[in-house]
Amino acid sequence: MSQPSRHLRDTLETWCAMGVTGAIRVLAPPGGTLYVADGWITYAECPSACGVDRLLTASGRLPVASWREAVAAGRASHRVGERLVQGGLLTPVELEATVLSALHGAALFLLCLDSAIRLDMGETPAIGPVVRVDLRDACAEVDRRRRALDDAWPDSRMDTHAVVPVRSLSGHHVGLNALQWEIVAHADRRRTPIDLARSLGRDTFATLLEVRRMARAGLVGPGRPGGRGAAGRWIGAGDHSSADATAPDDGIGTGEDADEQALEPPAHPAPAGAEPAPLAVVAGVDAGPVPLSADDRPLARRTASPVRWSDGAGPSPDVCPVSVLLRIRDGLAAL
Amino acid sequence: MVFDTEGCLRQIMAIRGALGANLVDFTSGLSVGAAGRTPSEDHHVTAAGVSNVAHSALSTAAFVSTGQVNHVDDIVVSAENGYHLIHFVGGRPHARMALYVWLDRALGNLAMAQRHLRSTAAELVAG
Repeated sequence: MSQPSRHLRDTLETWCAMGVTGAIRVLAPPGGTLYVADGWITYAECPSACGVDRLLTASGRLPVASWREAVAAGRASHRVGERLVQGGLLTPVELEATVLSALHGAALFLLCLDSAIRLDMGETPAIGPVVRVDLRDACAEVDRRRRALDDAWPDSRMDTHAVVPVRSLSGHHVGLNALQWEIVAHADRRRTPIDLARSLGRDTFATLLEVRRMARAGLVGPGRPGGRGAAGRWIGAGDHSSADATAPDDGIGTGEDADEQALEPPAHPAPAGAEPAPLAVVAGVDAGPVPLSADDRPLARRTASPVRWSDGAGPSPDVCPVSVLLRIRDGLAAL
Repeated sequence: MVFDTEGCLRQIMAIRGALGANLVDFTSGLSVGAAGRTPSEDHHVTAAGVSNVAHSALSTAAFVSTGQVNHVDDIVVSAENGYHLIHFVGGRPHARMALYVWLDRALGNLAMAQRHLRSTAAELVAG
């Protein structure tokens, strides 16, 4: 069964009240899946948020091999979580906490979308029945988290732009907590908080929050927008094509990108043609892949308009050399 | 003995004078599980509060000289409405869990509760 596009929460409320069991696929970018059993949310995943696989392997809590073993053994029976506990790799409390972290991390992006959704009846997540969360509690948590982010620092660009630590302190001394240290140590001027959370295997919301707190303290600032294509849309940006919204079939990663992510900075999947002119980047009117708010959209259009000019032989105003401008000024002055 | 969240909370609620307990992911403010009463509207609000207190304690360089790595074991808040104890579940570089217990001021014994929380926390993380 599927529903036309409207606020996702309304549709979910109806389905949860009906006590459905299955996978609810969110079709709008960033895309993702909510698993429900008898109307309770049991798992959620979204390419923007750390799944259980990354939380366990990228953080170093479990070796990738152990994770893969558990997945291989428990995937078919949808009991991966149980395998991890039985194998003595995790305590039940750790498993519950990790699944909740992944679930609420994904919910943060998914539960504020206006999106068409599709219900695949009967599907269950491979991790197994570990937790049950009431939809209203999940929504309340999403609202609390968004408030917490805005209270920490209202500039939502910090979520979707590269984290750029300042080169020098304005004061004498600063104290960082463990997560802030990891963020600063791994910030390579390209990774967004979402990328950093994934490569560190840290809770996505916690990472977003610490980045905003550091932004308030003037320790980091926003660099280029980008990273995972999904990044900015939950803030309420417009509609954008995205190819990386595809989700794994049963809500579980194999941990295969665990090593790759740590070594290589993520690529910037800018849609073809949206790459801004170099000058625009310098001027900070980047029309990059992830517009952030309604305010940014006029800027994106503005950078697109020079194309009309460059159709002819004349140079695009965006790349107009200073010498030409000086000649024009001199010419006007001579009149 | 390896126990789940419910078992862990039961064990905390067995502390003399315990009014309420909460297992909190202090990096995100998420309540992983809760039992008993709560000093605020609900357990989720309490968990968020625990997270805020933990954040302040961990990011304040109180009593630590510059450049030294600090480790906080617990936070104790003595208030009119009781004792509030937050114990960090340590041992792992990525530790993000804290046990919170709200104690009755008349019945509770801080030192006993601290010892109790410490041993519960030790059981939470597999070897």
